[in-house]
Amino acid sequence: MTNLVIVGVGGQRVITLGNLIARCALEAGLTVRGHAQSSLAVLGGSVTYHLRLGPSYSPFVPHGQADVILALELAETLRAVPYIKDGGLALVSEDKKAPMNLILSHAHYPTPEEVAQIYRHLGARFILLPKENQKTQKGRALPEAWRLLGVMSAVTSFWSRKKIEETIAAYRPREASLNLAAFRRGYQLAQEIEAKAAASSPIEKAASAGK
Amino acid sequence: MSVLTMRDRGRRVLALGNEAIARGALEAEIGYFSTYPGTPASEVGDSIYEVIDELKGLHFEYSTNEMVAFMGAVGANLTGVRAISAMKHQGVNVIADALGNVGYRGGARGLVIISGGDPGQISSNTEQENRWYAPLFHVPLVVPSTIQEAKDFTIEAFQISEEFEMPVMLDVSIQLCHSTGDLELGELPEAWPGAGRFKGQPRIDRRGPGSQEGPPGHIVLLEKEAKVRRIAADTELNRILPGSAPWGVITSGTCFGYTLEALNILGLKDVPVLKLGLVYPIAPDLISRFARGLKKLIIVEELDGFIENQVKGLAYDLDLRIPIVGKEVFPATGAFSATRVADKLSQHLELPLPQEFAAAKERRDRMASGQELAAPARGNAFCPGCPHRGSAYAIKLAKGDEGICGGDIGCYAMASGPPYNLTQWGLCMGASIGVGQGVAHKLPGTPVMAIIGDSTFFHSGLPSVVNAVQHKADFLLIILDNYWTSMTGHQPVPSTPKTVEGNPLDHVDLKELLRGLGVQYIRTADPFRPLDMAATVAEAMKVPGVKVVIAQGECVLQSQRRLRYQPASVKKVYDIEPERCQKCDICFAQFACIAIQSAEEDGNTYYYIDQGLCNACGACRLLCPNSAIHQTELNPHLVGAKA
Repeated sequence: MTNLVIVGVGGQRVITLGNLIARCALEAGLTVRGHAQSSLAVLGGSVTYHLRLGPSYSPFVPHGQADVILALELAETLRAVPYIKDGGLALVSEDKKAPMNLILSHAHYPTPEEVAQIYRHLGARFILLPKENQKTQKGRALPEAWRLLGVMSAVTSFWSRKKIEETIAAYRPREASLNLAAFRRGYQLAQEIEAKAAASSPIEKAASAGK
Repeated sequence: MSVLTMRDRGRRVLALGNEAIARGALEAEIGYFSTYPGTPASEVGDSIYEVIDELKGLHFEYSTNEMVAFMGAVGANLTGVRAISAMKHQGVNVIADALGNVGYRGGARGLVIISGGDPGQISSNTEQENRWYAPLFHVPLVVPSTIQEAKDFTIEAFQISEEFEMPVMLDVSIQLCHSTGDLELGELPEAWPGAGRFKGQPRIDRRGPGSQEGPPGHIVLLEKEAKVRRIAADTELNRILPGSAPWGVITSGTCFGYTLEALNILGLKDVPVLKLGLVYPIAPDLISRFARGLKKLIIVEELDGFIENQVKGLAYDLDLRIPIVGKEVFPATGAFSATRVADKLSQHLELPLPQEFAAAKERRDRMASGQELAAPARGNAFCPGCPHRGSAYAIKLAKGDEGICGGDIGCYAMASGPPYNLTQWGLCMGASIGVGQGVAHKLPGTPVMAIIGDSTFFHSGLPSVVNAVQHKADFLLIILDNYWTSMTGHQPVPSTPKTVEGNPLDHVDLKELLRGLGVQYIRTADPFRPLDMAATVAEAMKVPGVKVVIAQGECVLQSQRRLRYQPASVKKVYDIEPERCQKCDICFAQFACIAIQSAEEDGNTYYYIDQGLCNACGACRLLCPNSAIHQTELNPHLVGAKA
């Protein structure tokens, strides 16, 4: 069984992303249970999607049992900390959506290094997606959710890249080309990150793998 | 394609808990579906509404409130048609009068109520335990555990309702409503009953004491309940998982899954479990059969000790002298999970948690106590471009320190938080006006006002307005008319002027309605022009008697959606010019739109508009005293014109 926890902020398509992964799993013949919790605020509230692929008793990932954390917003990554398992994988967007209370109180917004350190300390592999300002020809920004999915597709072996691309195209046909562009960019980015990790010294490699 | 209309029986699909309930209702051949949207049960109705054109014969409606929805369902049911009404837990409070009577009057055959509960108070103002309604009104109570059961038990609920001629309540927690999982589809009818035949209510002399034994309606009701209790011993809604351990667990609903997982986590693989699907009434035979040979019963349930209460009562009658543990181990507040159940069980049984769980728990505790960096709290905030933000800002400005303002239930409840801190009371649906007139009568000379959304106004604001007019309250009502029931997913309200595709709808004219109710002073305002609106509110405050300001501005999520159908519309983009920005904090901290973010460059803080978040309402531009916010209009007809 694979446990995923997806976190982010309302409007970032956390639920759409979770539903798409659920659909891939169902089509691969797995039983699926998931649960999306969003806040009262439609845009800008905290959203958490638990997803369990394979036989499970309940839709909620128990503490310390998440194989993969997908985080669309940096600060929200901290909300998923109790779920990550030793040896798990955290794929994290650098996207910053500061909450209103933090803005008003001028409080500290966590840095990528602070977040990474916590995950690495827990034995997890932490991959940060650098911010990119790539846009489509029509000037639309690549949706972060699908970029993150591309990264996950490259560094895990849940389903073939082709299978996920087919599901993306079928899931939201109207947005397929934009979503596929983001997915492919994420896939490519992950390959670059992997290549860099492989080329680095064994010590750094061990550190980045969290072992 | 919607899972509600797929015809391939036996197919496995991905469905939301709420969709599974709706699918079950359709498979059960309902003829009438009514609902007032309320999280967590909203999608039961929404998923049907989405495909209503394909459901021949079915009457569907978003009613003005739960009571109207339920009474309509009762009416349809009197014509021999299966009817269902869905609502959130607090909605059942609204139908309580009808629900308390329907059992006495009889005539309910195939009448089901969906009650969406909210353990953890995730999207409500209370986490009220609705299972008590079952014994209060003698209503059989069915509780599903999984997505599959959500569908199957809905069908089962209709069968119980028809067999015993009683309404049946299906209690579903938010954790199941908003779960996604696989669902095996059943047979869908070709069409749904378009017309019924009036059957009416049975002739029970319900007026006086029919005999020394009491009112006949009450007697018949209790007889029916006793019959259900008898079948409750053998119904397939309840299940026993056998085990050889000397103690057993009784549970139901989503707690069933948590319990099995928790037992697994703790390595307890031989514990017998009784899973109740029919949670009220419980048969004594079932308890005695399950408890035979056991030395202890542990009851795992969220919120109140409802099953515990029943089982302890039955145990006395059965002379079952073993410890029965429930709420002393499992708290009556907050939602459960496998993690929480495992934690409480391990403490009770004095068993160690496996290392990875203990470590995760410790980590969580350290984060909660601030010893370790934790995620910043993300309180509720208005969406970027929300008309209510402009209203909150404007009303606060007009009200000053002397006025008092009340709130109501809806997105605008977020005006109660920082930085607006606008509303000083809130209670239940419609309380802005109801409470407000009471405050006004006892605070002469103080401007008393309240805000209410359009949907809430129709739900339960109307009677209070009539009352306030009749009794001459000195009171300003501000209706925040955003054309939709937005918080629950944009269901239409009686005054919605057009669909999201842009097609006009027959609608109630709010102004005409208020005039008809006897309100003399009615003004409209544009919340996307907050300063103008503040002037309108300030002026209205000076007028004696009941006065109403209607802030008309469509929910930005819907108006943005409409742009899809109008691809040729002009797109507006807003930017802050850093050189002109004086960091006066009006847009950033007082208007407080989350699309306005700050960043640092070379040690200097600057504000910018996050284009990914901005919904282009333009209100910040009108508020900026330094004209530092620019508007650019992108006309699609001009794009590429140069080439």
